Amino acid sequence: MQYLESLTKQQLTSQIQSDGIALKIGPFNFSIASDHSALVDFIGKLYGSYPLLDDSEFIDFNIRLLRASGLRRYFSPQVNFYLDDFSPFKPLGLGEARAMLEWGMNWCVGAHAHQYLIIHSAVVAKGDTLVILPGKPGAGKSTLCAALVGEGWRLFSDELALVDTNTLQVHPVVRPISLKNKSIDVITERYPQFEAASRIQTSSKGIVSHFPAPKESLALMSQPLAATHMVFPQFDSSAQCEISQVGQGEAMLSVIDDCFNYNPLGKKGFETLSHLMASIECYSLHYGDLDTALSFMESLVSNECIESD
Amino acid sequence: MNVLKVTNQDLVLQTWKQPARCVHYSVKEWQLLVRQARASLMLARLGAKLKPFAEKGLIEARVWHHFQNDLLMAERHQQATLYELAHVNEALAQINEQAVILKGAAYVVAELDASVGRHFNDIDLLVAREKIDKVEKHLWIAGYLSAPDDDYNKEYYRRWMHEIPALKHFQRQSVLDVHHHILPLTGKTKINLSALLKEKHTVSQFPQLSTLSLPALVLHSATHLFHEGEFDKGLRDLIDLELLLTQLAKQRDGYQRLLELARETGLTRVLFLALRYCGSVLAMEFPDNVINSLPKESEKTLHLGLLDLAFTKVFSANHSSIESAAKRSAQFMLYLRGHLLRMPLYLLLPHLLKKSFMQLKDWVKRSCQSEVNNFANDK
Repeated sequence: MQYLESLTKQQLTSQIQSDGIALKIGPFNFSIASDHSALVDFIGKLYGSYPLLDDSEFIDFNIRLLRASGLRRYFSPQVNFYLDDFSPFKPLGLGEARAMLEWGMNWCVGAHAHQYLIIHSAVVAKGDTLVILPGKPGAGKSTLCAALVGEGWRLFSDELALVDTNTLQVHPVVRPISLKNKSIDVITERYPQFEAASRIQTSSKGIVSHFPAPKESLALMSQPLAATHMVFPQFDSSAQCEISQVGQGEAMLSVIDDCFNYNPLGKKGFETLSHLMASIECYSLHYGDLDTALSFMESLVSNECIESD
Repeated sequence: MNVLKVTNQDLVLQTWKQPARCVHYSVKEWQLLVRQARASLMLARLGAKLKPFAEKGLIEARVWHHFQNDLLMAERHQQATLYELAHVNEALAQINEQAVILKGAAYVVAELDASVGRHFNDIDLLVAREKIDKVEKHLWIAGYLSAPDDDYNKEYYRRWMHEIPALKHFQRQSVLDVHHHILPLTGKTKINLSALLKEKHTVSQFPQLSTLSLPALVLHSATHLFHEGEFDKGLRDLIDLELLLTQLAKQRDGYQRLLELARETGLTRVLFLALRYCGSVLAMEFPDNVINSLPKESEKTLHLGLLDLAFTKVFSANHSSIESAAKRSAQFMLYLRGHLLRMPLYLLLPHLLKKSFMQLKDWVKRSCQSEVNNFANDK
């Protein structure tokens, strides 16, 4: 098995700028090509430990990030994201190319991989305990996810829960962790092992930084697991900590809005989600500081142990 | 940056015509097929055709997911179309008016073979010209709004075109294209519309709506395709015709009714072109008496020779792997032809000039606006 980090900078650059670099990322095979040099560095730092694919592998998503042509090449340069020949987004400023790559890859999965019910959430695991953390905007799921990973939890994804519609198992799609604005400092201070590969000023989300996924999580990128818990985090620095169990029905209604493809899946989406919810415990976690949240998450793992005695 | 080499291997056409060959495809061929098919809106349709092979385990799971997921989306679009038609029906019922459903939406409602694996976007409706203002106003009340547009475009549509500007539902974002004729009023081809509408039948679940007979649907599809200027959906549309014709051929006197209707409506030319290219591009076979019944159209003129060259090039997968100078020339030639068929030169030239000028103005305005935004952000 060859990994991206085995390539020299020259080899990596030349591949990215021609046919594209082919990587296995969880269940998907991506090919990434670009004519923008900053992306070579970014990909090298964040995807070094991912398996390289050779010519004999089928590529699910052929991605290109190309600089906008014509006057736009020199005059406030922009970049376009392509899945094959199709460009789903408006162009962004060249400085946002790295963020655009990550967002674009999420879109590829969310818009096409309907063999899974895809929930916008972080997913972490410890032993046999797998927790889905649905991502209401501003709730702090990414920060909590990063902290859990810092504490040694296994990263499945910080963005997407892929629930197999046949087996109900959750499949990892391990990618770089992205953090925004204040959380970047909170996490890097607490966990010095987190080294940002980028710091990008975006037009829509403020400052975004990306961190490589831990090697231990990557080593398990093909091992799915059944979900055991769903936790709805809500960070509020002024609030008292409040943890309560949520009914499965109520949780299901809440999480439908967080599913990318609940509607396209139709009846299958309903069946998958309802069976999933029926098999897990759901909690609402209002917290004002990370330590409280982390100890609650640890208690979920111990509960599993207690139950199995 | 040329990432995918040009191969000129049109796997969409090849697989559509000979699906059994897929069991011998290499990874590279499957790769190319999926990419070409997705770009040509044929992924779901091919999925329907290749399903028997997948069910026998002859297609690798990773590859099959792409077809299966697109089939899922196509089914979802169909459901959405029916749901939307229910709303349109309700709106029309309130003013006791009728409309005819055209093209893709008609295939779904009539449960035709052509609806399987087909993606849908806009719903095309035909309304009597004298009723169109009333219908438009009432659709507006039902939430279907005309896109904000400048006076020139509005004038262009109302005066010369066969349709009003597209109506978009403010909440559901669904789009209705409301026509009062099949072709632009300024166009060369004059059709006997009432003959085309003669055998329309009411849709049982939507009493205000009706669909054309199958022969009429064939002729409408052919008219639309062979008056087009842009062919990014060309292959998909030609395959629509193949599926409609194949289903018609199974009906008693299907071809005869088709030929009669073509003569009555004045659409023998487009029918001839449809049969010709379904034959040459898709290897469709027709009974001799059908081929020989349009002698005037099939005269070997230079014009027909040029059309053959051009259409053979554009009826191919809409993907960068099938690019060539010849294809681009063919596309350009047919683009001009499409425009000339819609508007005579003395109207077309000023119209194109005006549109180019407006687009240039718009581009400058947008570029300056984004500069202002960038400047504000940098502060």
